[in-house]
Amino acid sequence: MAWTNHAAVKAARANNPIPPLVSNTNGMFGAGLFGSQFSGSTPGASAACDASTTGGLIKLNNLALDSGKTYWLSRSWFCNTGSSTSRRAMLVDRLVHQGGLSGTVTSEQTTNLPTAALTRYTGGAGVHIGLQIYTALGSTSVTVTARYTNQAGTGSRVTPAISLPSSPPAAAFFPLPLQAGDTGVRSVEGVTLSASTLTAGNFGVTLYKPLGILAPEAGPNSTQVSSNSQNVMNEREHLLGGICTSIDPNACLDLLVQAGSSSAVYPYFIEIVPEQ
Amino acid sequence: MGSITDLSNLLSKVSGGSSGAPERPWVFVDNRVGSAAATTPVASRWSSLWLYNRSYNGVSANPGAVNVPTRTSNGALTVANASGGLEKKLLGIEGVCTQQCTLLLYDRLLHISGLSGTSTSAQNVQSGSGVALTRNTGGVGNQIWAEIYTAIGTTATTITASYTNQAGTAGRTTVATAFGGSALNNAQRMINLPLQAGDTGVQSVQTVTLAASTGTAGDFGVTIVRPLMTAFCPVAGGVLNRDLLAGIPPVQTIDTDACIAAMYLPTGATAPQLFFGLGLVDA
Repeated sequence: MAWTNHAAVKAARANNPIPPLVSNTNGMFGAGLFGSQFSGSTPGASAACDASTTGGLIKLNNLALDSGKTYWLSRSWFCNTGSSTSRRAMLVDRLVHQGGLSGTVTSEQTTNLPTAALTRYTGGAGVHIGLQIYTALGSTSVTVTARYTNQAGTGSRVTPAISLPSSPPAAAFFPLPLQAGDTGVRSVEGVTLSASTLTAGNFGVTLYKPLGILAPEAGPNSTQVSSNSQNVMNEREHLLGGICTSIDPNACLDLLVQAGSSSAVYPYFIEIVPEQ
Repeated sequence: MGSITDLSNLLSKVSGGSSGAPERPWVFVDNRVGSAAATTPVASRWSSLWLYNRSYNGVSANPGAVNVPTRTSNGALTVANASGGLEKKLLGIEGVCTQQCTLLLYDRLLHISGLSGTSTSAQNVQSGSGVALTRNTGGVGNQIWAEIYTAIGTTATTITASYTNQAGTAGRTTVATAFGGSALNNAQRMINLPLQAGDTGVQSVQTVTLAASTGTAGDFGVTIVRPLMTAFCPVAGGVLNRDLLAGIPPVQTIDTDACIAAMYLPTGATAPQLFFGLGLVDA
């Protein structure tokens, strides 16, 4: 279904029975692109994630969405009252995850792999691979690749290597690029480190679908971002513009967040509305 | 010509109604090329993202002989062609970037690699190839860029291109532009070749000529670009959001079979990682 007109959007917002989702504040760190706010237990065997998965935002906020409706990302708000600056957050649908991979094994790791079958976006188009750290890895910086099946069902594809920094902490999240020509992923079969990080730690594969970029901290330029954005509420309009995102009612919503330091900051508020 | 009539029509299209066929391709761009780190960028010098490893339709080889990339080519931020007599419209971008920079999205109309940084002869681009533009063929707004794939030499010289302009006038020559030497010899560097005075576009590029050898052959090419939009990441780790529904430029029409690609203008010397999505509809 689609929105019929602007009046329908206004009515949906005015009559929205769903309170704004409130995110966690964990997952803030300073290394790499993102940290995951997922607050569920560290996964072991691969499992599909959905709205009932502990750690996802719908479960976290004690909501139960109607599987017969279409939902839309409507607005988001962020107010940084902390001493650090949190500059970006990406809302994703966490599709499948697993854990138990080691930071010291240098042969291909297949523990708790292949990943469980996708239950959403099952063809794999637009599905991304991420590596999530559950227990910090060691101090040696290494590169890592993953072997996967692409959106066309072709197996034994291998991601280009990405660089893992020294001592990636728990919650650090590293997106992976794909082999040239690929546009999605159906499953991951193996992960290979170029060398030992010197600490086993625990990390795993997460398959996810990007949904949208939430309200950033206030301030359009570098001077404002560093200090003047504290205690300033910023709002982002997601529905009344050119970038419009639907939310699967069965989604396991997660935030990938990056902070300027490890200090905790205040949560994001996310409004989703059911289509009328 | 297609159009979005009002806000209600827009809402309907971006949510899948009114034949909008909305698309939201997302791509993670890593700061590595193949198995190695990307070349260190230089502040205020454009760098190409064409070869950067990515999560959406990445590239594994240089362009080679002159050819016209399309939406099905490796490297394109592939989107479906519009149907039913409608046009594909680019509504905006949202994303994040680890470095402060300006991102330029463009339609990559034509490219070639394999040119030498030591040859001072006129090096063929389209001359004798039989290859011609298939999009924006009138040439207005098309730009000529030199793109370096393997580092050329450290001896500074200049480069010119011989081209046919938007009026079909052949034998036009770009303004001699610095090429080779510090900051202008690196892999992934892109160097704009300003057009001859009075010209507003390019229908074809026949040859390029170096005034002198740069000292190292390397590998460079020519890319014909039709700019679509820019987006700005104001601070390292910031967002890269731009909605074209209000402001300049307006909503952009994406030509049939367009090869959407990107380059960036950094303010520092760290190659960025980006994660961004495009908003497109048929209208």
